[in-house]
Amino acid sequence: MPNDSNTHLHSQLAETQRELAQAKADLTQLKAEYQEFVYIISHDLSAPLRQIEGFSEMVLERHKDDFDDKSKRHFDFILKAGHSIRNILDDLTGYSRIIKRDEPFTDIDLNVIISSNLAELSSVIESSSASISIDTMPIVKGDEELISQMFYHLIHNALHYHLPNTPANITLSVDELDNFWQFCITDDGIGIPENIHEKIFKMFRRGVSEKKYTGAGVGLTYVQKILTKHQGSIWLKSEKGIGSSFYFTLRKA
Amino acid sequence: MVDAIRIIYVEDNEIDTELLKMCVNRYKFTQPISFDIAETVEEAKEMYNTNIHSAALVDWNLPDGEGIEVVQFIRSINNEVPVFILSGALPPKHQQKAEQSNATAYLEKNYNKNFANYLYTFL
Repeated sequence: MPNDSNTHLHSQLAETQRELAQAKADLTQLKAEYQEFVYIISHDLSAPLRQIEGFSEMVLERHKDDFDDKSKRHFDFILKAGHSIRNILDDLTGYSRIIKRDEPFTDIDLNVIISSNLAELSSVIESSSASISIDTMPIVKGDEELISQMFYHLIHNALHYHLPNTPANITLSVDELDNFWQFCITDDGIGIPENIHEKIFKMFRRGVSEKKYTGAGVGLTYVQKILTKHQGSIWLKSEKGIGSSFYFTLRKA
Repeated sequence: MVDAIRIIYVEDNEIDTELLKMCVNRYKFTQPISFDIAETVEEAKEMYNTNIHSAALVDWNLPDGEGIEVVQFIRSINNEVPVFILSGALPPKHQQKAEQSNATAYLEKNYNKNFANYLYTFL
């Protein structure tokens, strides 16, 4: 005959199972709503934007000689604002793609990935007169496209936010821990004040004005999301005017 | 000639800056108004002069922090000057923070006649 204690445990287990099933159902619904929301953002919103851009360009092209300088400038603002919305939509879609992506993890030779990133960034490396020192990198397990994207953004940031008229010095090092590889990318760039260390990982939030350093404010958001998908994490040490060190971890293969 | 009222406007988006200037020029106040533009919290702190500026307009999102930091800085110097926080959206959480910072008002960036007239009541 079951005692009271067992009956109570059975009842608790059944309740927990019900709650778990409900949570799973809620999650499935939330995912579906999220997909729908992303579709609205990327597709439905882009149609009226395309029309604004198209007709604005048409009016400007036809009547540009009739406009005074002020009106021309205002039309440029309209086109520029349209371009900004387009970029925001593209960035949101890119972020959603990272979230949705569910490719099997494979062995990745980071040396190959980083060489390819450097080749892609060759013009930025040249314009910032950068010297880059990179440790021999390990093989990790992950989604190759996302890992490549992550290193690209981190190296690009280190190159991009360098002090004016000063060549950038960048190092990329790695330490082996028990279960993780701990990487560190260090630059001697403009640095980041401590009060915005959390903010810079948020979508479209930046540490500097657009006029001084162009950018959309998505690179670090992407990086953090990619690391989360790989059970990694990221943090930084930085001092304004001295430089920044971004530390991040990836699970060992 | 009447001296212009000087307002410090802390905003990193040049199109918003242009829109606000146009709004103020279109719906004229009794005195001319000129703007000193700062793009960051740091620039605003350097630029603000309690003897010169009759009001401050501060965007919520700034590259190196939140507009609230500028409000707190100005309030530490001058408790009377009108300071408005501006934003494209007004979530309740931000409104609460704006009230706590002792800002004069938290306004949506609808740069129209109502906005201009509201602003003028404080000048």
